[in-house]
Amino acid sequence: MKKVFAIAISLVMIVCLSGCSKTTGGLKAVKFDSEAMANSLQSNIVAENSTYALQWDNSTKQIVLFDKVKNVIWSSNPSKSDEPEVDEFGMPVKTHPLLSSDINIKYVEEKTGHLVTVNSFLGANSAGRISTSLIENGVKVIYYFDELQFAVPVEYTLREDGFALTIKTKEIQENENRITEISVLPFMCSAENKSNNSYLFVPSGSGVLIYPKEISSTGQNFRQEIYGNDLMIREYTQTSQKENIYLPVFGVKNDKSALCCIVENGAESSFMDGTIGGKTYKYSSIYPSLSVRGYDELRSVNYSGATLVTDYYTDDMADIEFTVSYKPLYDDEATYSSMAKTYRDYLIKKEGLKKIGDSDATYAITFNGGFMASKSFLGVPYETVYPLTTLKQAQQVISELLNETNYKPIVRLNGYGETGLDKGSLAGGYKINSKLGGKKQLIELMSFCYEKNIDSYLNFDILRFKKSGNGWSKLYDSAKSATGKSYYPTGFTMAIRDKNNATEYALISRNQILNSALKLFNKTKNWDVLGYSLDAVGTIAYSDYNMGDSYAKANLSRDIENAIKVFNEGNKKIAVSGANAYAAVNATQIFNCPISSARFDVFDEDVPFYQMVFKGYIPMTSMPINQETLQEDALLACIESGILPLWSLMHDYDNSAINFASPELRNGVYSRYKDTIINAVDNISTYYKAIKNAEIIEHQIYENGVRVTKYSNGVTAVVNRGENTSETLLGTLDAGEYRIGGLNG
Amino acid sequence: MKKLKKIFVVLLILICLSVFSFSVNAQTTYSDIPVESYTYWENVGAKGRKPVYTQQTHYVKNVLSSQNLNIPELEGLIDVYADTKQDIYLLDGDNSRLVIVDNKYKVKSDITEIKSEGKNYTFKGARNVYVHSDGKIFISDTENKRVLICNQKGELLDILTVPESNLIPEDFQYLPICVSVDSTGYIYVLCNGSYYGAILYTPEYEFSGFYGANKVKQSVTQALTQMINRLFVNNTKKSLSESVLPYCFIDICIDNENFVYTATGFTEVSQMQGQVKKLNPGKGANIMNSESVNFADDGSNWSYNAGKMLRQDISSIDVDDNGYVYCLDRTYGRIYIYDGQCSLVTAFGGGISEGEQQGVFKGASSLTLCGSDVLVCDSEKKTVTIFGLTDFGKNILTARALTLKGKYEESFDIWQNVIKIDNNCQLAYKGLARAYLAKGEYETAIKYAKQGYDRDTYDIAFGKVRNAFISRNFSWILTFGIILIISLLVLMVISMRKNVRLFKNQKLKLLFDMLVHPFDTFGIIKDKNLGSVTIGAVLIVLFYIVTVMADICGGFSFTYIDFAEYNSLFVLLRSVGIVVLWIVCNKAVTTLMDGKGKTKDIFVVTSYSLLPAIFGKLVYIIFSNILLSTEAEFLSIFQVAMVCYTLLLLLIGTIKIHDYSMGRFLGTSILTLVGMCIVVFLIVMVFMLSQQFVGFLATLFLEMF
Repeated sequence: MKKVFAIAISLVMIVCLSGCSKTTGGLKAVKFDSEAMANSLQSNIVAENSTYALQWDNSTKQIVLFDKVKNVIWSSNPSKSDEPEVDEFGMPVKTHPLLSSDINIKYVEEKTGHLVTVNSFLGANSAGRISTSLIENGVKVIYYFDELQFAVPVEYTLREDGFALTIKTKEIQENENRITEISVLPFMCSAENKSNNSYLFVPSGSGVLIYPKEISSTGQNFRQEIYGNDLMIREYTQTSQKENIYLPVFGVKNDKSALCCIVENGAESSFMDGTIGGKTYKYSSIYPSLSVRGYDELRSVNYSGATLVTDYYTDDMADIEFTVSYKPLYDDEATYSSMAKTYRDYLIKKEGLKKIGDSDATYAITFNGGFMASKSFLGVPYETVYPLTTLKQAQQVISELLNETNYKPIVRLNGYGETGLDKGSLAGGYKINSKLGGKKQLIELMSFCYEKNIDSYLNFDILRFKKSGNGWSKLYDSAKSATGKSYYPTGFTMAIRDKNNATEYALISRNQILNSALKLFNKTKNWDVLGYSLDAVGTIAYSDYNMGDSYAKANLSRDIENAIKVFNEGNKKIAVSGANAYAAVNATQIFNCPISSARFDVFDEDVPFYQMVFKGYIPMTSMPINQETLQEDALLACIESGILPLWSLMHDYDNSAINFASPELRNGVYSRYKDTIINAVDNISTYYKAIKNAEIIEHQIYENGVRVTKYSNGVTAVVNRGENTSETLLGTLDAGEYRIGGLNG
Repeated sequence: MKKLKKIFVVLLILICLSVFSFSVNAQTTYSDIPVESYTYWENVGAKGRKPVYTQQTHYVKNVLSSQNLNIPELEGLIDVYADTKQDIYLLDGDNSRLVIVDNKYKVKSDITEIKSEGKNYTFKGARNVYVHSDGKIFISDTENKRVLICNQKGELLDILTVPESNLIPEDFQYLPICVSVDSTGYIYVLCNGSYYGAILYTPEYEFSGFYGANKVKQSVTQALTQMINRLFVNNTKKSLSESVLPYCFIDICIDNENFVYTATGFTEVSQMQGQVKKLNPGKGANIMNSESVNFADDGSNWSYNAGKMLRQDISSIDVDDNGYVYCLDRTYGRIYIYDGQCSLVTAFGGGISEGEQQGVFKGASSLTLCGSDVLVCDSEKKTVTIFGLTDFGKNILTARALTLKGKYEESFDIWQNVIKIDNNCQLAYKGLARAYLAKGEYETAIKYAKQGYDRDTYDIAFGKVRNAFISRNFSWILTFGIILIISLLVLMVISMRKNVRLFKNQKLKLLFDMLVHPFDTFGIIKDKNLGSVTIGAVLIVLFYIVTVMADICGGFSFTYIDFAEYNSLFVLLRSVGIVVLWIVCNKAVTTLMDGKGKTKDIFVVTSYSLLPAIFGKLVYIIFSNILLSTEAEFLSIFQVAMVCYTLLLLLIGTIKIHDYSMGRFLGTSILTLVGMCIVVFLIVMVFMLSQQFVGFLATLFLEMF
């Protein structure tokens, strides 16, 4: 009896103590050294090459890049030295402290638990210390926030084409106040609010320009997580949907000079922040912020029924080496077109971007396989796949389109697994649903596509799953939230944007992504699949607190690259959707490229920056244009940016699809869209043939909504996306028309 | 020669350009709204309506702000209005400013004072602006308790203040928040906090009376409670009691036929119905069938704002020439478009007061129409968002208007376009059903009516098909009927003469004898122990099967179930479950009340009594597939009769087997029913406790691993 009692007590203790467990495995913060010597360099050049000199200004405690050739100074403080020191009433003009700060820090105040922001000007320059020491090709600056008892070392190094900033989280010192986020050089990439011929470039969606303007005293801020929201952070409601930031690059143009900034390392754990139109700052700016800790928002209901909200941050930090490079551009190169080229060159040099080249296809089709429909047998409900397009029907549609248009499509098969488009077992249970044609019909379709030289991709979700199976457990193989517990994201009900628990799914643990890819590859070896489409890997970003190296989304690019390499090494074509930079550079095809930005209020003009980076290198298609609000305009956007238009189709439709949890089945019945597709393909195919493998060398926007795209082979596309008829360099164009020049070279 | 070559090259380029120039008809490039649109499908199941994704009907055409209008900041932007010339009026109430913008979005004037002879009036604290077709501007100068009427130059024409009349209560606060004027010049003024309705002025600006008003809605329970309270209230209690007042109107607009539309705004969850009313010009009676319609969303968001429930607030409305009502829900920042029959066409916008993107809102404060554009003022963002109509939007609004006007065939092609872009459009299925009906293609009309859950159209089309079938086959049907009747008669005569027994099994015979001679039959069953448990069990199973069949195989016009949510196991509970529960509880009660019936007897009586109900369901299944819903009276009466017959049999059977008097039967029956409730309560409690225990174990498991 005593033994039983003892065992019971032990069990209760284990249970209770396990409830108090915290995630471990991340980086332990170095203790703040309040006694450390703060060395200080005198104002001087700290590194130099033939073009640039990197200087430390000890009076302002800021870094300055001097372009010796162009005689231009690039400083983290944009205030001009010739600005008056007194205002019209003779009062001294105060510069906002943020303009003089190289870093801003968010931290959790130990006493109150509140999240507080401090900038380096007030926290380190004035109330702390700044230590500087020379390092190879640069300077290391340690910002000591003595009152708050933390210190952040930042390395500034000179490069051939500019300079770079690096923060190593393992060198950050702190005591009780825990740092959560570090924003770097907040006004390095800025433009004066009242300036003309200036803009800020933000890579939101396809890319967007913000023209400097005065909005209000504090202006408007915007913030987007690079590569998308962390799905492991609990989301309680959804106010709206936003296009992701797919590329970690941003920039500014100021008349005849520009700055192209690239987040080279640690982009997964970063945000893109913008402060636009603040009268007190006088400048609008874009800057990146690094998350150094895992985060989750917890809610609980207390005894009185009130909901308590707790911001939870992990004790440990993520091990990240965060690097941002800043590259000046001048004169004709001071444009977003040149920023795109600069970024592409970076991808080629550092990330291994290769020129895959375009196929002969001039359009793309996504076939939707089926979805889980609720049916009843004698009133007893059961779920079964309703076939929207069987593999046989898909083959018939392809044949019909080939015959009618004489042009080839790129084909993507979506929702052909065990549970169709709905989430079920991982990677569709490694099965082709028999109602949709099964493996035999798939092999037949693949053989048909091979004969006709049609690129075809079968889509699998190797990251998200709803139920255990095939060796994957929803409990043990799923990613954990910052609290160390399993968390399953959900969709939202469309009407009230509240959680829809029926759509709950698990994310595969980050250390299992490679195994998930390997398993898919091995299980489908004999399916004769020509290409794999891995939708989710291009757009989904999440942390996993099972392991220390995937806190705050860190190392996501590594995990995804490894997964894609499984297929690359197996000589299979690989397609991704979206897609974030790390996935895009390793793919042979990008589906669903963004054609607009997140449309924040402060955004002014969408630009096809994403396409300018990858066009000619990786073949791309648009989002399904039949699902766009303005379908004809979406086609124009495809023409403008040189990406193939994509239609998302189904052969049959059933009313039970109104219960489908997302909107993608609201249209696309082939018989209704057939003529639209044939007409469009007949019209646009010559153009797409002409720009095959060509790169975009220049893109221009005119005030009247006319947009001009110039390709490396001399072809020019002019589209009028404005409201009125306009004169263009290729003649008069009505609103909604386009014209192609230089087709004969 | 060189010149010739050059000319040749230029010509070649020109030819190339002309040959390789294509054009597509496209719209201008503007933003999508960053929230999916949806509508509600009606009559899908018992729940009434179901949210379904739809194609966007609107896009963000432009956003007006002080920056892009190049004017000083509109710090207190509160209202927007567009007149018949499509000039836009932006009211900055906090700063006494009225900015007039033309239809090309250029500023025409910026009025800060209303001028009068020697005196200027500012309107700081104004909350609403209205512009009549004659160009008169009405500013609801709320804080100054007046309505300023001026011309386009900002020159004062008149001022409306609190009328001097016996009709105006002494404590009435004249705080105008909205003005509208009909085509005859009558002015309707809404005052903040006034539950008397709108104040009506004649075209000569004389007070005419109060117009329209909401009524206090009360449930039966509330009414009963109030009645009881009144009966037993003393003076002290009476002085402490709060009077229940109706909700105030918060916005008003008038259509081209002088019908007045009102919005009620924030209401309690239990009263989220009838927020929009269409009042006739004379009496102010609601002529729209809107009292039972929730103009906002059904659910309430608890997750947002840390568990505080977000509730709808239809705070602004407008109406277009086709009678579409545009409602703005301030809480969710959402715009709903309803047709004249209160069917939702679409819901778009959003942001839940945090919208940082174009097309969603932080503080949506008012809505107005400018041609086909929808203008929404955001007092937090200090912007006016202009939503343009997409091709799809044009099509659906045009087609629906044609359908409602009865121009079904004209709407046909447009509905086809709608359904191409949006498979999920219930209105399109309904419209096409009507169009096919008008064309005389009844079979196709039935198909589309079924797809669109349009039971009215289905009924008409089905009636036509059925009548056509009957006329085509009348002679056959008549012959068959006569033969059937004759055969039955012959069979009866033969069986009576030759004493043929239809049922050789005595127990089976007793079952059918029970229908005619229940007293005798139940007596025999009890005395001779001739009741069959097998037959009883079969009857209970049959009862379950026909109940399910009646749900799933009934005629379309009579069936209101959503197959996606229907579960016959629940039917098992409410059919067989109740029968079993009755048997168990009845046995328990009658044991205490000296009942003589055994469990088997109770089972037999109860199950045998179900026979009429089973027959009734069978008749329902057959005839609901033949009759129209307009002919359903017969079915309803027959159903009720069969249920009554079942209860009668149960009564007789119970009296017989327990040897009870009528009074004792009633007593035991009531106790049985109470017992059933207790058992159900216990079952539910055990279920909930076990569920919580499983949940606790699951939490422990998750915590440990």
